[in-house]
Amino acid sequence: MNAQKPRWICRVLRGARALAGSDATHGMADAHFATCSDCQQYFSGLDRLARDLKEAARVAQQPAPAGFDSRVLAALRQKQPERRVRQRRFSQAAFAVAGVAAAVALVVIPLRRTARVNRTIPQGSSATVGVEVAQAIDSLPNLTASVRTALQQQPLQEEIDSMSADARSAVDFLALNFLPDGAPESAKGRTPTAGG
Amino acid sequence: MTALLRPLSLDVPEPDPSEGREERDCIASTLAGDTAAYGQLVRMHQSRVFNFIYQMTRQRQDAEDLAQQTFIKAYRNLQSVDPSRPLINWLLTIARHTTLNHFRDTKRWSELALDPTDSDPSPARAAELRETESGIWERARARLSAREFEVMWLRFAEELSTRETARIVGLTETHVKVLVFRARRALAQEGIA
Repeated sequence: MNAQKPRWICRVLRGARALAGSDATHGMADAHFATCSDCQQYFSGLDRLARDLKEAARVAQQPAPAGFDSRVLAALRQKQPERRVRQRRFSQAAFAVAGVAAAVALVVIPLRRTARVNRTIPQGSSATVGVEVAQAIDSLPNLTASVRTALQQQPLQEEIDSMSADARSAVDFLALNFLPDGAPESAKGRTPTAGG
Repeated sequence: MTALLRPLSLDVPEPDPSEGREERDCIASTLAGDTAAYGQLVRMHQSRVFNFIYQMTRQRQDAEDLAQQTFIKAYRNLQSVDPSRPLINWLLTIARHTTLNHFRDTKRWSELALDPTDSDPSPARAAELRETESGIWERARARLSAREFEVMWLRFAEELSTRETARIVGLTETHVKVLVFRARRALAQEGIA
């Protein structure tokens, strides 16, 4: 390498060559490199450096630790059961959460539905509505006796009413036993029908 | 002049795709559940991965642990490997990330000491290091920044192309060229070249 600082044009063209790649050709740069002994020395020095670095890397290679592959495989085997256990725990927790959610839904949905029905049907009018429904069913033509009986019995509504009553009893029981003494009487006043 | 410049070409040609057939077979077998095939992949690449990390950490035990982590991560993500790239490039990418995370948790590059087995070499060993070509990398390491060093290692020791080097270190090709240019200039100023 030339100890003197390279000329400006040399530095520019060397940088350009480095960015463009050594295979790139440019008339001006090629012409300069062909005649500039400093640049020729510079490039031959770089060539030698690259060669030396490659050779040195081969010499500097450290052998991989003995039994390294076996240790990697053993670590993989150790970690796989752990992952399975974690997955099983997660699935158990997921089932538990799903169960709780289903139970809450079973209690809350009938309550909300009953409340909606109570809002739409004024108190005291259920008997009138029942009569109207019965009359409407009687007026329907071409109904067999079994269908007519099923419609009049309204088993779904009966089931909903039953669940609603059960849930309401449970809530009343909880309110009576666990709400503080200062709670409004409206929340505690009902007599529990279950567990009381 | 052309004859003078041609040997300077440092762009390593892309590997022949047919050369990686065994590697691809091992990958397919591993993905099918054959752990022994993964052992074969580890044996194929353990030396290069270990040496790359060792050059970054200079601690043999750390390098071994990080190399092991690298192969475990690779195993878990093997389905996402790009079949158009040689596996070693992907492994080196993982190795680099793993090592950088290790640096974040421990010491910075500049604070790292040499491995005790290397830091206090015997006079004969020191003379050997000075004389042998491996000393070039020691001097390069002392002179260059961490990023320059890793780029130089990937380009000249691993003999990767500029493009692959850029992918591994997460830089543009132009940035890699600039780093190589600066590093070579710095090494030349040190009298290494």
